[in-house]
Amino acid sequence: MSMLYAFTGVEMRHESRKALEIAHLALPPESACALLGPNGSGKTTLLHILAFLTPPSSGEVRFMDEPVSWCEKSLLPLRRKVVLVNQHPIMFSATVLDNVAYGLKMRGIRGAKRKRIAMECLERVGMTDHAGRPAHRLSGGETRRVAIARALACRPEVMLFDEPTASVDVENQAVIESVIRDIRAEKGITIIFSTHKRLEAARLSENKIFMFEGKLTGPGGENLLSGTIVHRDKRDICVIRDNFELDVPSGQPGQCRVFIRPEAVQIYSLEQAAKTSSNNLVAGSVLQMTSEGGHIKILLDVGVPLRTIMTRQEAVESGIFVGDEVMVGFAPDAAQIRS
Amino acid sequence: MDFLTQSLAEALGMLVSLDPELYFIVWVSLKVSVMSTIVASALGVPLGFFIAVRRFRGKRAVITLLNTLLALPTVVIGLFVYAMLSRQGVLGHWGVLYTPTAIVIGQVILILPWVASFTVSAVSRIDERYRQTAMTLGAGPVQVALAIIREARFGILGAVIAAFGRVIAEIGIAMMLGGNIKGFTRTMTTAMALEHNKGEFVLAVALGIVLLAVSLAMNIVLQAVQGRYGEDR
Repeated sequence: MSMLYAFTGVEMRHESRKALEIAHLALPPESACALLGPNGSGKTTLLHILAFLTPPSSGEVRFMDEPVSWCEKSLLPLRRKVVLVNQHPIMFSATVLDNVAYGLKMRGIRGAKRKRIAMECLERVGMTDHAGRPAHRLSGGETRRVAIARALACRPEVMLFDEPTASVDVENQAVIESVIRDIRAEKGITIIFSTHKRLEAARLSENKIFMFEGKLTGPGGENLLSGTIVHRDKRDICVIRDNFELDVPSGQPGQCRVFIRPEAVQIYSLEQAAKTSSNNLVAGSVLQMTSEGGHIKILLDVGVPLRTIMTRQEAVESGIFVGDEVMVGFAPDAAQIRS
Repeated sequence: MDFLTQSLAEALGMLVSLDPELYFIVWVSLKVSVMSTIVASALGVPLGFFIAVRRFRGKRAVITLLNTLLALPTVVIGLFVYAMLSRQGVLGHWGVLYTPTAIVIGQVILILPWVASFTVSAVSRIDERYRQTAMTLGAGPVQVALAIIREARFGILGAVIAAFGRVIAEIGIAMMLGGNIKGFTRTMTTAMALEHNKGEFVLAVALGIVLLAVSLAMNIVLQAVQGRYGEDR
């Protein structure tokens, strides 16, 4: 299958710090992909490379099976296929309509046609009444919607969104999600967006990329916790917090980031916990249960957020409900040191 | 006090009666000042934009040099350009010494650092997201530059008006390169200096009033434009 983007050995350095390090990444066309990860994980840096705004420090990027040369002349046609909507979009000091029509003007589309397309795009985000207003007077949510209309007007093949619903009220959030869902339904447009919200990622995308410290962590990268490695009783132990310790294969004593595999996290009801032989149990509660890719993902509060995954059948048999107090156990190989 | 009041009254009379000598001096002043401002802006705005947006070795040194040139005395420029344009000078064959063109050359050298330096400041203050937004919406390099200049337009306009204010009020260059020739290169400032030397204050006061009026008008225009911009935001 032909890939829309293919990254090989791509690195991005800011002075001496590596902001991004991707050995391999392939993104299929006409799909929706969510980039998940904490702040500083490299999501925005990756989006800027995907939008052809910033060249990587090294490595090869292929777009539609062609290598990207990163010289200004060859980038313009690529940029006209890909539009990035910033996390905090900025409006040109002109009217809302002029802002939406900007991309069309750059493409040489004139007069009535330009206005018609711009108005159509404003209608899609429910902002036609604001067409004549100075764009600087819009609220944050309205600015986000106009920015989406401005990007849509360019009729791109790829739309990139950097945290599209971050710091936006519920009403604007619903509108933005609905617009993104509508765009998804249109054939030929690929959507790639970064988000902190797992539910939003589940609702809007079929592919998820997890990032941490500039690297792809693979599915399940969400269970990354800070801890301290100590050597005790001839074992290496990672102390996450009081009464929450995990065996780790080996590691240098001191601060670390540890990844807990969701499938290695077990949930026991209080009755089951009393009978189990395991002595490494942590008290917690069930915060959220969501259906993802045929499995049930459970968000637990054990003093820190922790996710586990089980089949629908296992979830039904466990009899666990949201709000239940539970005990959480870990398989011997549950923890892996990441940094 | 009576002397000043009398001079002011006679000066106002000259202005109202549309005195030809007075208005010709005003016309020469405005002509050379507008011309030098246009030339300096045509060179200084792109130069300032380039310095602001490009990363290059020695950028800090160039900005320091530009800021130093802001304090360049007019008589030093006058002397330097005179040496170039006089018969023995390398550009003596142009034959433009003691013409309005010579004044324009000197004044361009005077205000080019002003326009460039203030353009650097105005463009540097523009949010980086404007550049990224224009690029991602499909703008080419020239269109991106125009988008940034458009956002920085009020800062740049301020620079141009400040530069115009500088040249219309300067005297060293106009005197040394124009020669204060009546009906040809006599500007408001050189005429005022001459009248002062002669002990004739009426024309000097009338020209002073015009000079202040021009300065006031430029500031009113700037405030009006910036005020409208402020409302838009």
